[in-house]
Amino acid sequence: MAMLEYFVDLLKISLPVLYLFTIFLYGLAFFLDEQFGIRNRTRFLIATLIVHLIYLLSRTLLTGHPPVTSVFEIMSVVSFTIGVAYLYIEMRSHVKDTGMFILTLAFLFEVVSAAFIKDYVHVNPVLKSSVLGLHVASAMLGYSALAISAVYGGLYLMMYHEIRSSRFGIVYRKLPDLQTLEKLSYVSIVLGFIFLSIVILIGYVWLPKTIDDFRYADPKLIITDIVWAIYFVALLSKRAMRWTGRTVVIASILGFCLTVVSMVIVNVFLPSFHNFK
Amino acid sequence: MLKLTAVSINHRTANVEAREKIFYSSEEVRGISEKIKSAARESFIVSTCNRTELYIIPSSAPQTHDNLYHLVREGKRLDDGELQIEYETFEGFEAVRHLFSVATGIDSLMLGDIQILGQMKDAYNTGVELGMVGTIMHHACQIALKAGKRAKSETKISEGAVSVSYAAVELAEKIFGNLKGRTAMLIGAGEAAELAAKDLKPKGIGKLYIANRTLERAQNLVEHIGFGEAMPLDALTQKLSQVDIVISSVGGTNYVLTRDMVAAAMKGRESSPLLIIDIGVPRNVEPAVKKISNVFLNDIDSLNLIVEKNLDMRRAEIPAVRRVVDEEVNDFIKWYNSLEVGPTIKMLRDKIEQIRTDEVKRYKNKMNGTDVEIVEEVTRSLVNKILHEPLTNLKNAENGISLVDRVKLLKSLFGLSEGSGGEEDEKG
Repeated sequence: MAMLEYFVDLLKISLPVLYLFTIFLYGLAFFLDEQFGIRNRTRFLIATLIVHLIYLLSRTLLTGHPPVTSVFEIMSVVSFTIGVAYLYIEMRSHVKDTGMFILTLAFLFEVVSAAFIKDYVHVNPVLKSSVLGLHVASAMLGYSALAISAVYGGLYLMMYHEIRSSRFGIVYRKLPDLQTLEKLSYVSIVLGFIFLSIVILIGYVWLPKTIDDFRYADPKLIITDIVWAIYFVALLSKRAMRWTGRTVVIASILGFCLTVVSMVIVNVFLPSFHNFK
Repeated sequence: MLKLTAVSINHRTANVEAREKIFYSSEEVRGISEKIKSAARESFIVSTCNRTELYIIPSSAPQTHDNLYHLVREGKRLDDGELQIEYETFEGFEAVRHLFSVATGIDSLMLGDIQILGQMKDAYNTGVELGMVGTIMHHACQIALKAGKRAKSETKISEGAVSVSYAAVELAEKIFGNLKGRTAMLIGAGEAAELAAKDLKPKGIGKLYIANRTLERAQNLVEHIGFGEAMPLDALTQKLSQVDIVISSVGGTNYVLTRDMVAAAMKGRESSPLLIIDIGVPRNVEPAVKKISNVFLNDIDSLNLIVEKNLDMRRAEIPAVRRVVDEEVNDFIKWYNSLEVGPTIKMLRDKIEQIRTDEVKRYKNKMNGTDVEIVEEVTRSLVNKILHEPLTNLKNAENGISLVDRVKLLKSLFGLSEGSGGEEDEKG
């Protein structure tokens, strides 16, 4: 057990370094077109994600519960899912020059997680359920996809202003075209929305059976429903009102900001049964 | 030493008029090929709008640069007094280095021009078909094409638009991605509009409107490029909401597109972006158009800036491309030198074998049949064992002596004559 603890600690310390080095490789390719970065960035990302997966599994083995019992454990899972979601998008779209921006998000989550994460000895029995794994994984993937969508939205706006102001610097040269950035942002929203729908579905079916003090009026549930509804309306509006370009990415960024603010308010200021410490 | 001689008439040595006169079509190469082949064991001609170059490995008597230059002129039937053209000359491996540099685009008038690679491939195919290209030029051309491909894939020497009309297309692609199916409008029917149309057409533009004050000129341009729809300038407002890209290049002092016109058009486009490129001087589009959301207004200065930045980027890549050329030249030199090893080894083996058989023959009468067989076997084995190590070292030794010097030393030590092994039949 002591050996496993040592192993988990070693991985915990290594992960931020691995993410930083991955970002460094993506940066080398983005800013300097270095062949070493171009050739190895995706390989190193995959290696980092494998190490991260081993870390999460080892941690589960060590603590006897999935790493979702504290904000800092969840942050590590979010970091991992951002990486996985980005890798999926990169492989589908073949757009690699945005990795540095997206993975910075994963790195920040992992650094904060590694710095403050602690082991909880007494864990709510609910956390032993396998349905929880699906519920949490969907939630993390959903929110990660929404975060990625917002980052792509930000990159769209950077490129938009670069062209409008006729600067034509590295952003113009290296980032994908506006159409692609809009598409990546939109696809990420759709993925995020699908995962969020799965989270809500599992939550409404599974939580009432598992949680004694379950109530539909819980602030966290209401906020999740509102976030889902906002994205639902936005996706419908895009179709009905033919939103394109800047409107789509601004909607994506606003949607994500609203999600973050709502989640912070709910988690910090309002009581909820949806707290498994 | 490689007996390759080259003359190059290029953008540094000759103006466009001279380059046009000296340009060889593949038919003209065919016409001069027999004459060149009579003087050269191997040859290669590459001719583009910016260069005509002749590479020759002479068959017997060495060819001076002047001979080559006159051969090139002769093929074009240019009299000596008619047009004096300067030329550059290259010898041996420097000629190979020049050929590789040309293939990578760093010697092009338009730095990093990738068309040269295709032109060189065509020239090589013509050379092969006409029997001008032999072992050495074949290898040199193959490596040149490889160097060109490497430069394109490993460096940014051919990245980014370096002409104003192509910078406009690049800008459109940075906004819309694929231009397939997009609608474009050209305002004006002059030379700039024609260039823009020619760059847009291969991108798969779905619809092209050409608006001009004189409808007839617009119709002429449509007919000339074989694509698009002509329309009068006053019908511009109705079509504006349907187009994604506008390129304006008309004369006159009044704005052809005002803020109100574009704002009205944008209402019909929901939030779809509109790219307006104003290359007219004085400007054709009211600068306030830039303030309208989702409208990208760029003028000739913007396009020049894109071109300048891309050229700076390409210039910065020259050292990297030179490294590729150096690597390929070194590989070529190694390959060339290795050509000499085989025939030298054969000459040495033949000579030693001759000594062995002569010596065995001398003592044959003093031995019985079985003894002869044993002596044959022992001497053959002895020769093989003695030669094994020096010949292995000749090919592989990394002792600081070049392969050429090792071969020379071996020939000198064993008195191997140049003519006896026939290596000059293989090499230049």
